[in-house]
Amino acid sequence: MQQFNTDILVIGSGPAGLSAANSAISQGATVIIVERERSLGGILKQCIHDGFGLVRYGQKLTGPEYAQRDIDVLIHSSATILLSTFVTSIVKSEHGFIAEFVNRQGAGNIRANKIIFATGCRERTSKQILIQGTNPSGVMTAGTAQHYINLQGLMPTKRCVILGSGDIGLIMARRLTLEGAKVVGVYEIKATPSGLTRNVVQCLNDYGIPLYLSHTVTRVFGADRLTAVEICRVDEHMKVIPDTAEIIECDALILSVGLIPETEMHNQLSLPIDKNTSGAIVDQHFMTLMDNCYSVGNATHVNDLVDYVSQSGEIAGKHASCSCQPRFFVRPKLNGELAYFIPQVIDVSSSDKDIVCYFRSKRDIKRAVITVKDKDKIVYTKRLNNVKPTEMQRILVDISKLDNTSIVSVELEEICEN
Amino acid sequence: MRELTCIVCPNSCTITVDGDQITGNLCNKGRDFAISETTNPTRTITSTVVTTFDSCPALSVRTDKEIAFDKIFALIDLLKKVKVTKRVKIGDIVLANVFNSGVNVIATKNIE
Ligand SMILES: Cc1cc2nc3c(=O)[nH]c(=O)nc-3n(C[C@H](O)[C@H](O)[C@H](O)COP(=O)(O)OP(=O)(O)OC[C@H]3O[C@@H](n4cnc5c(N)ncnc54)[C@H](O)[C@@H]3O)c2cc1C
Ligand code: SF4
Repeated sequence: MQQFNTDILVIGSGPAGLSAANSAISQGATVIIVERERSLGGILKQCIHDGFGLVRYGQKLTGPEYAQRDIDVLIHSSATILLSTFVTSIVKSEHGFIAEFVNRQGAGNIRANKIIFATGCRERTSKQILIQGTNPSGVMTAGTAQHYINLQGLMPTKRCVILGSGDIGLIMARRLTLEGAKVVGVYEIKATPSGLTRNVVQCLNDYGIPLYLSHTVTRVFGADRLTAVEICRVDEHMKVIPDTAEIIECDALILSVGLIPETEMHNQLSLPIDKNTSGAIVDQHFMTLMDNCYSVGNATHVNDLVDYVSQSGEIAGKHASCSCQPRFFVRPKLNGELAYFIPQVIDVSSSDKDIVCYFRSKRDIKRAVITVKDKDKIVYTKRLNNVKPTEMQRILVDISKLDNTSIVSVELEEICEN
Repeated sequence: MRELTCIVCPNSCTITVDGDQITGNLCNKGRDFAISETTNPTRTITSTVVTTFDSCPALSVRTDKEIAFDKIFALIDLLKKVKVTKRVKIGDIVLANVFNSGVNVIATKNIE
């Protein structure tokens, strides 16, 4: 039986896990990082397009290049790295946590004082959306298609339909087109694209790939392999308009219908989940409501820039390398157009001054104002232009004046100008 | 008059180009983008090439500078003919000076 002891255990080696491990080690902590795949880097390994690292490095890097910078630091550090190792369970023990894992050598466990979940997110699949018909092969997520082409060098389709306009779907539309496949179109049930505007422009418009808003796939055809899909228009309530059905021949249906935080590990510790983010509730150091247990990166909320994923790992890693003091939470009440706000709880017993907060709006707002208040006193306020649900906002809020009598509220409001 | 979406950074500014007048860009990079986009559009291209290594059937690559938009498909055809037989590291040149443009195609991944 393999047995390990460590101060900090990091689960997952995507950008969040890598930077959490690196920042904890640079503060002098002992760290074990566990990754179920054969190599480090997480999902970035298959994101070969560029655009990563503008905030952190001021450069447009590809996913593998971005990841390699953190990997190079990690492999020259004191970290213990366990690859092809799958964490199967986590329990709380008297002095910390015990993680059970399996790998080629068999089973084992790790005793850790602190734990950082950096397990990333997963894609919604066809089971989570309603499509009728047979169950042929050729229906796959955009991430699966990305894995085939970018890591295995295999083409999964000659002629396909993409359902959903998430960023990965848009990026795959371009990639498939460049590689010689015909992308008939990207079909989006909502009236606005889900991906970033720049991706609609540089992935679809550049290559003349049509984007059909307010459309969805209602049926799939084919016995072994997909042969066609049925597309319908939807009304403003996203209800299918029956007499708009159209059959499109294709050998693949590629789904880009959203990402959800991977919280299987979190659930084993019964960590409270925020229904708005589908990830764990965290304080400003990404510590969950359970002391010494952190959740970072896309396991906590789906970010649109990897730079901020790394930043969350850095904050948590640094904090985890110090001893945890008793925390006192205030829980900001959300008002107005906020879809979510992180941190969901603020630890006011900490000596922090500026803390990083992230939020998204419920809808597109041209001119908005975000205000953080303690009772009636304004703690922070800022005007923002073009706030969109697809683009995460990030602000620095000074919490040094908050204490355990504070009643905090956060409001995002539209400004009407005349 | 032409309306463009700047793709240089995630702000995705809407830029209006009207003769010499460029408006809507939040920064100078957007101005440069608008000029190049209306005269000689260019892009960074990322793709993969095959290798002889089992551990890395597809090696990811990119252009080290932007290439002309209308050369993109020709570049992809060139890349299809490449087979990497030596171990390479990030930044190593896989194809030098494509179309005599001064642009190289470089590896974005190490072959371990
Ligand atoms: C298919 C796909 C494509 C994406 N493309 C982009 C993109 O182009 N641009 C962008 O900015 N963002 C993209 N994202 C979002 C992306 O997830 C984040 O940008 C970033 O990679 C998240 O980093 P992370 O460290 O939180 O998670 P990840 O990079 O997903 O890393 C999580 C790691 O945890 C490991 N793991 C999970 N559970 C266990 C366990 N029980 N035991 C051991 N190891 C475990 C996984 O194997 C994985 O390596 C994409 C996401 C997906 C799913
Ligand atoms: S103009 Fe500047 S800020 Fe606006 S999208 Fe372009 S690079 Fe970004």
